[in-house]
Amino acid sequence: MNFLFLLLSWLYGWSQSGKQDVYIITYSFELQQFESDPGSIRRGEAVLFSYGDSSIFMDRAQYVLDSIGSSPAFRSLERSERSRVILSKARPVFGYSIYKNYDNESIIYQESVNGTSFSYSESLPNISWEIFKDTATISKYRCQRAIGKFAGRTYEAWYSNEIPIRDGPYKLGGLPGLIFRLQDNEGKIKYELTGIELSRTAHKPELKRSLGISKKEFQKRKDHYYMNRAEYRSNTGTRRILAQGKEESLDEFYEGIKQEYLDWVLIEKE
Amino acid sequence: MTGFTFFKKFGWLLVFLSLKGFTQITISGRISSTNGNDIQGASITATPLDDTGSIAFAFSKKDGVYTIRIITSADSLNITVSKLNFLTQNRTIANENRRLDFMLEAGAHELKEVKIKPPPLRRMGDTLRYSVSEFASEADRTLSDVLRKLPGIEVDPNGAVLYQGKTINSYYVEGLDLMGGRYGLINENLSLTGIASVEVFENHQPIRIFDSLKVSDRAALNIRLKKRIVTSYAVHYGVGARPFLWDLNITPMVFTPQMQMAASLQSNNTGRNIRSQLINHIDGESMGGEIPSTGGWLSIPPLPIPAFSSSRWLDNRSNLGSLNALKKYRNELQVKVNASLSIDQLRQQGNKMTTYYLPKDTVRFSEEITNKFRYNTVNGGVTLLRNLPQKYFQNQLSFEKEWDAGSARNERKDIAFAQGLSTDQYTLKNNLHSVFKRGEVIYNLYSNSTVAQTSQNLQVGLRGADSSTTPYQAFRRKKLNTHNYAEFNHKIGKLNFATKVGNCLDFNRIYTHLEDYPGLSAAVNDFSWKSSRTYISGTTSFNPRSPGWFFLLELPLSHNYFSYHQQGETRTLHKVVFEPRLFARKRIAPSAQLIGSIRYQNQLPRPEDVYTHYIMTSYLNLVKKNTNFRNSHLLTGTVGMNYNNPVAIVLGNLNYSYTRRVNNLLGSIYLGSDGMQEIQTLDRSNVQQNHIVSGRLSKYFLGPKLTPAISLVYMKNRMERMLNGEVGHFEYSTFTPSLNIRYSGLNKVDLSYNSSVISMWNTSNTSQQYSQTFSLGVHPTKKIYVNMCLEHYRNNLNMSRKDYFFSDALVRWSPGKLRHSLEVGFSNLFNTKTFQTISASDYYYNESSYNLRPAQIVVRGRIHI
Repeated sequence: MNFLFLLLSWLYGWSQSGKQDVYIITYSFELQQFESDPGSIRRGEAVLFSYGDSSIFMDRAQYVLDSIGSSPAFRSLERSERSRVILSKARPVFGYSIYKNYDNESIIYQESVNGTSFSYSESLPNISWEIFKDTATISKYRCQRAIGKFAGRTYEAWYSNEIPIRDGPYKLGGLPGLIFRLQDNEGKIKYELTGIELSRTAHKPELKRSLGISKKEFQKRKDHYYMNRAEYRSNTGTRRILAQGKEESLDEFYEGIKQEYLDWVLIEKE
Repeated sequence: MTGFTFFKKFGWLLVFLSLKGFTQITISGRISSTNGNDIQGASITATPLDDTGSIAFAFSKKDGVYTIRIITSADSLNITVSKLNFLTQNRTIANENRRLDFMLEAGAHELKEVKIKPPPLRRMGDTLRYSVSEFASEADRTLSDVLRKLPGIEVDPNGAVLYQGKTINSYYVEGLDLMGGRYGLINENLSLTGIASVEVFENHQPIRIFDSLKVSDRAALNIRLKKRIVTSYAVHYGVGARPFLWDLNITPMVFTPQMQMAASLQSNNTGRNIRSQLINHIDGESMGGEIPSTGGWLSIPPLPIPAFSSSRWLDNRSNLGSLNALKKYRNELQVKVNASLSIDQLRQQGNKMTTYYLPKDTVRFSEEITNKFRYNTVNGGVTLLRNLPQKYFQNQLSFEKEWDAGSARNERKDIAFAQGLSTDQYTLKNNLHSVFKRGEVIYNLYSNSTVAQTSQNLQVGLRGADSSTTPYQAFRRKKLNTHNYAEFNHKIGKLNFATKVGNCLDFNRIYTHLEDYPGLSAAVNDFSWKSSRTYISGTTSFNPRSPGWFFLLELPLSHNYFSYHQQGETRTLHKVVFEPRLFARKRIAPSAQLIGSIRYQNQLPRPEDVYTHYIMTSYLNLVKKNTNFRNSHLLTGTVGMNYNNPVAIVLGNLNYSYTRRVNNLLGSIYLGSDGMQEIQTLDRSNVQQNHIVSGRLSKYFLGPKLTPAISLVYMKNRMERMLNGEVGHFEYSTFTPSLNIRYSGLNKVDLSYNSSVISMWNTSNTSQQYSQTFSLGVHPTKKIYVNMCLEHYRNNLNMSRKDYFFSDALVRWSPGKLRHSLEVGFSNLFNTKTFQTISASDYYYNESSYNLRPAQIVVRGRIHI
């Protein structure tokens, strides 16, 4: 209950900030999906809405879908037409949103599992970045190299002092300028800045109403869902299923999901 | 880590630091705004004066207090404090411990905006998306202007679109196929303003129910529009001089999710080839056994055309009208109506020198040639289509009527030929295709019926020094062809089995009549030709879970029956053939895949393979094929690699294919000293071999907008021929490397450079044709665009060399927002009169000189909305 209150008060603070200018920063990303297959790269675009001391990070495709969903013109369409519009848009690669608040040094992580939106709060990571003298010009900005560790991975970041936003993709940030390029040393996670725009009129993402739980509890529920998908299934009488063009029995299908889940590349290894 | 290894690793650093005088200093202070409030989260960075990048940083806390620790040997440092919505402050201080407070003034931070732009090339599964705005320049008006700039995509001179060197198998606008294969009309006229992106669907299967069941190695093109409803108008009107020239084009198009429409009226005599906009570039599904409808057998040989812009050589009067509409209903049913009319007149003038290399002799002659062709075509069709993931239905009824007339004069020193050819033909075709699923089985039913009739008359007037004759050849053909099959697809585990049973029937009635040919009595062929191919085919495809592999094995077995019947004579053939094919594909990296295939085929007789009396197929050819039925065996192997990396924007491919053909018949040519050919076929087994290596590579450099592309094709043919009674082995090879560079990095300048060499060598000759083209487009002001192009061609033939230079210019003035522009175009500025083209085969060599259009000027108004 406490958490929900905290969340709502945060949301209030958020909607206040919604009136100010927002920096819309776009990253293209390449995320390896499975540990066993280096070729399983998922590409897409992520977007970071920065207000200077707070920000929201999410999949750009998710943002596009959310902003379409909240438009009155879209709501007035017929159902078949709505699904046509939705189907014509790119699908998001990841489903979480990350809300960073640098003033109270906290993060709220929101993700849906099996249709229920959960969120947990934690402190901003304290990454001890080592900065190097290497510089490079990326997208017209002078950037400098830094190396830091976060959640079991070592990252190389290129940031620019010229944009005094101490933010970056996912939960990373804490450098004296915006992160333009980020890559882990195993080559499984890559982000590259593709755009910065200052806007007052863009649709601003809102924190989804969600159930606040602890990070540990969230991980437990997510694991349980993917490891025991059969339990969550509503009984529709289906015996066989067509997955990626291959027909499988339901048991094979759920075992496949479990095995794939165990093979997922985790951004946070620790 | 032991103490020793620690010392080994870092001890030298400690020694180094103390030697160099590195010291750690601490600077602390408070950061506040001018109105006295503490500022939290300001960044404080320390940078040496030589500006080699910052060496330490810290952030101010809630109370505005900060502490920064710096290790450096520098005497002084720059301390920079910045915070969003405050002006950045810099101070230079000595390298020593001290307190340093900052007071920041509110102010907007200057931001170099990096506009959000979609990446120029993006991959989503099997879809590659090219962002049109990245590749288009301001001078581009229509889709075709930008299509040829996209890395990996080529557009051939007839307007066919190729992806990675292979023609596409479908062309869509927002997922709907309005034009079928006649997409040239959209490419050449759809205004760029409405287009958001061009998508390539790799390995595209047009029938959705077969997705992931039947693979295709071809790609499809899909044009994505910026809005749900897009209307595009292309309107050109132009007049010109030397002689009087006109150029008119009105092409409106409408695209909505439920309806698409494209209409066009065009007319010109400026050398713009508009008939190519109606060429069907997509042949239907290649159905084992469907016999393509070949038209007439008689022809007037055209002059070989130069390989550059048709506006310099095409002497035409072309008219075109087309109306196409597609309506999509709620139940996904699409109804499509297409109708087109083309009335075209062409004139060719020039001369041709032909050399035949015979085993013991060389025959050479040269002619002055004037050809006039009239092509009139009307075609249309109605298509019903429902393409759902669970069900597919298509019925297409189409017709085509063509009535052509041609005349030609070929003059030599001592003899002149006058030719007149008329052709009248029609084709009526119905194609029904239905695929559906019942239980575990997917049923695929297909039926195609074609009725065609052709009538041709060729008259040749032959005037020698002391004789004159006028041989006349008539040709009539009626044809009925039906192809029907049923296929059953069944999936067991990871294997897909398809069993296909089908039959293809072909009935032909052919009548030919030759009279007044010198030295021959009247020759009449009047025969019926029937063929029936009944086949059963098993196909297995295997899609193992191990990533990236795909296998396909086809095992078709067919019984073929052929019957040739002429009064008093009947020849029949029964033949059972087995034609296996194995195809494998492996994705070796996200950007690269390897493909390989091997196939064995039989080439069985066709109606044009047997006729017992002479036919004059052209003014120089007299042909008779009184032999056995043809039966060639073909073995084809292909290996290749495709690479496309959308992040680095590199696309390329490399392929090698080998074909070995064993023929039971050998063509025998008797060449007279005047170039007259008498062609017969003999029962004599012979082998033909063909090697092709082809590769292309293109890379797009994002910053400078530079696209270099290289390509090469090497081809070698070896075959046997009988010339004037002697059997010889002939070889013929070509090698064609080319380089293309496009640059549009500067805001107002577009540059492109193209260079290629075509080297040909046969048993007795070698030649090279070099070409270089350079084009420069400049916008001196926002409203004016100037384009200059310079071209150089060089032909090296044995010892002789010929150079040709061309230049064209265009000045365009675009005054308003309506995208209305006025342009003045000059073509062939140097007024080059003729151009020499070279064509060769294993035993002959042609050098022809083509009379070009004179220098001319055309003033055009263009509206592209």
